[in-house]
Amino acid sequence: MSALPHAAPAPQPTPGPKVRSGRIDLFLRFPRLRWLAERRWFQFAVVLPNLGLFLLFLSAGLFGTPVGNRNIIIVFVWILWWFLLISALVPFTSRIWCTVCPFPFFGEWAQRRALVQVRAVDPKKKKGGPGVVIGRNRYFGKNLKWPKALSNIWLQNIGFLALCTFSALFLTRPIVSVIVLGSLFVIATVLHLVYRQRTFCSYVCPVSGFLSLFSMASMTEVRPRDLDVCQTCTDKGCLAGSDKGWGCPWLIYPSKLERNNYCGLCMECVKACPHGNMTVNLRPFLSDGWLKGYDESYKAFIMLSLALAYSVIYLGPWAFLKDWANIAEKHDWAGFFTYAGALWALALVVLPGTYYLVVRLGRSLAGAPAGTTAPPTKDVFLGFAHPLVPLGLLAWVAFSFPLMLVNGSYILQVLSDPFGWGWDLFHTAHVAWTPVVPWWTPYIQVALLLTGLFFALRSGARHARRLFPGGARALRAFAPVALLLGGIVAGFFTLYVG
Amino acid sequence: MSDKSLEAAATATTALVIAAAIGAPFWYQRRQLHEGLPPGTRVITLTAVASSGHWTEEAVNGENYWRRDFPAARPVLTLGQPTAIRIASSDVTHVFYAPALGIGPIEAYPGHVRETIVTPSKAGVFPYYCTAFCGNPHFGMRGEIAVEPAGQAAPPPAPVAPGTKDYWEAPQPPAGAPLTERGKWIFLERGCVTCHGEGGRGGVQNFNYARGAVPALAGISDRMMLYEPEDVKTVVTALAKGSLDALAGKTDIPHFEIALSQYHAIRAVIQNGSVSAKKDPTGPTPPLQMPTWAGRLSDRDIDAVIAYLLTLPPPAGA
Repeated sequence: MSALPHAAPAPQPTPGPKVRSGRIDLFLRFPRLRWLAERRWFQFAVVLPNLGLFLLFLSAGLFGTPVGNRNIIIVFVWILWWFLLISALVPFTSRIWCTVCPFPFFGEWAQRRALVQVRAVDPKKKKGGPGVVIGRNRYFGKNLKWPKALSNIWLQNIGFLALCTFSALFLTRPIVSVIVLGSLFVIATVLHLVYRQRTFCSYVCPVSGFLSLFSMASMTEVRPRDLDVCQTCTDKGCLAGSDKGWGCPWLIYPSKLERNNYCGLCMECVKACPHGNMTVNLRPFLSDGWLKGYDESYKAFIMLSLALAYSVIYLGPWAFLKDWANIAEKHDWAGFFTYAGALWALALVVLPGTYYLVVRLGRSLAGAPAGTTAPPTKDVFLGFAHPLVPLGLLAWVAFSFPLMLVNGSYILQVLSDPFGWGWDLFHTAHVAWTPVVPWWTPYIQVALLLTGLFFALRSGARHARRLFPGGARALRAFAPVALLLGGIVAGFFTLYVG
Repeated sequence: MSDKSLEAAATATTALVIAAAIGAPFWYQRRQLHEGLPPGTRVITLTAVASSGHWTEEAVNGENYWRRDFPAARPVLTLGQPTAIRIASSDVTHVFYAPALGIGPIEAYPGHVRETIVTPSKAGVFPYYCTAFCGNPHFGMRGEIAVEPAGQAAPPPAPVAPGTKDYWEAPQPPAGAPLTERGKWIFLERGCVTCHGEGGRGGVQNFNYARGAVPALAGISDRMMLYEPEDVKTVVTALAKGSLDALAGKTDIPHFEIALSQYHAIRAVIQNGSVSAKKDPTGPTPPLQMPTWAGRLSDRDIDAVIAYLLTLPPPAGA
């Protein structure tokens, strides 16, 4: 393990009040948090227990009971983890799951040949030695660049939709969950050996795709404290790495960070910045205000479609739809293909197509003052797709809430008997299945959906004012989209409240 | 701490966590299996697998449940030795019942494990059952527990009764096949054969049942006073056409009114089931009871079964 000779002392935070408006600099407010984030062992210390937990889940899936609601891999991953992820971790702490995610553990270990330390390279002696030098760090494996054509989240979009098509399988069969989670370990490891740094996380991981979208709404962000410091910085340790930290594993340029989407909160930039200029801010909900491409907008369509479809299938009264989705139990292939075809059509054609038509209608209604042209349809489409971020997120929370309230008692059961082997570790193995306040569920769902609609309308109105200056034009442009958003929420109300 | 020693500590911790995550559950399972049991107590786990139609002694887990056909358990207990029998279910709710050994009925809920300790006081071979309807293979979900004095080999298991293995997968006759063919298929596929025996010859022992064994069904033609083959044929033809009642007043079958009355009585038993009367009123409930088929078999299917039974010759000596 090499460290640069005469390494500089730990940088102190840039003085200031340099905090951006509406932000609370958590490193200034809680210096211990900064101290923790700067420790080289920090990420290792939070990933390792999670790795142990997920290996336990895999073991339970293989060797524990085949009964889904008595096996920890089903209950903890698809009920507890999913609920926490969508309802708490993403909205409040951005991609903190990526900080603790165990899937890239082995791949990153092989790539860095280090669990904790940095392999820093003396800038004067870059040539020679094992592995590949990128920036000021040394890596092992092929370290190929990911193809440019795939440098987007389309793979994640399709992967997530494909995975969710078989949700009835991995929600009920531990072995299918083992295959899904095990595949994530294997694919992550292989891609780390072939491609650079966190290529798997940035472009392939199906979970990462929706985290990237919804982290835009999150109330936490990693950002440079003072942009002037970044502009005058010649070291660029956050990107190139240093003896304190690896160059950004997510292949982004932290000092230019404007959105949460592709920041995995690994804190390497906090460690590597020679000026101590990277920090973690608390910020208002939905501070990242725009989508950058059709791939991101399609992620929003897919997430909203899935929330809608799952609400129909799993919370609705139509048992035949559950049977169609549950191909492993019912073997109704015609039904399954009908369900899968309808799901994919809704997510990839019907909802985006309807949205496109409605956006075009709004653009036409808004018109353009003499001597000007209307903004390009793509800009309007992406601008008006942004409201789907808060709406989709809150729709998912509204869908997940009753699942948690209804199935929460299974968590207590498997906590005491994770393998279904007859243990009773905490004397909760025989807690009766008890739905928690089921009578409150519709009210909670309605409140969540209305919150989502509020933020969606606010976002849409902002984009309308930006794209179509003038109150009346903005109103005409956004009105059709606002009606569609209201219609979607009304559809959810019908499902949840009746 | 130097870089190298920190890295070494991290590597060692990782190895420890991986080993603990994978190994600890098995270590704890071995430990807790005998927890609270008297020293020397054997532990046997019987897991119900509805798709295989068996209680099995093999470990049923997430990995093998979907691909294995589990064999029926035939536990061998030692006379006088306490044995903990753990009852588990890998799918739906079952009930384990071995009345001759005083075990159960024990409800086995999916994913839960229940335990009972038995100390056999008599040698022999004793049947066990599932007494909660758990799917089509339910009726064959039986087996034997052998009890032997210490040091003696257990007797070989009784052969699987012919016609009962995987009965629920019996091939369906083509549409348009004779009614008796359909009746024969239903008799197999619905598991009637598991209690009433191949060819309806009966004889399956039913513990503490007043009549000892499940009654034979072959020979119901005699019970219906249909002594001539032509009469049986006439009745089967009428059933195939849709109604035996339609024959009333139009047939020269002797005592047809008795045949008709018996037919309705048999239909009623199939539709409504019947309770097996106890031989010893203070003893355990007989494990085999005639279930109700109303709602699960159509009128036409019940007629098909009766038509099939009418074609069976009476058991020898009956």
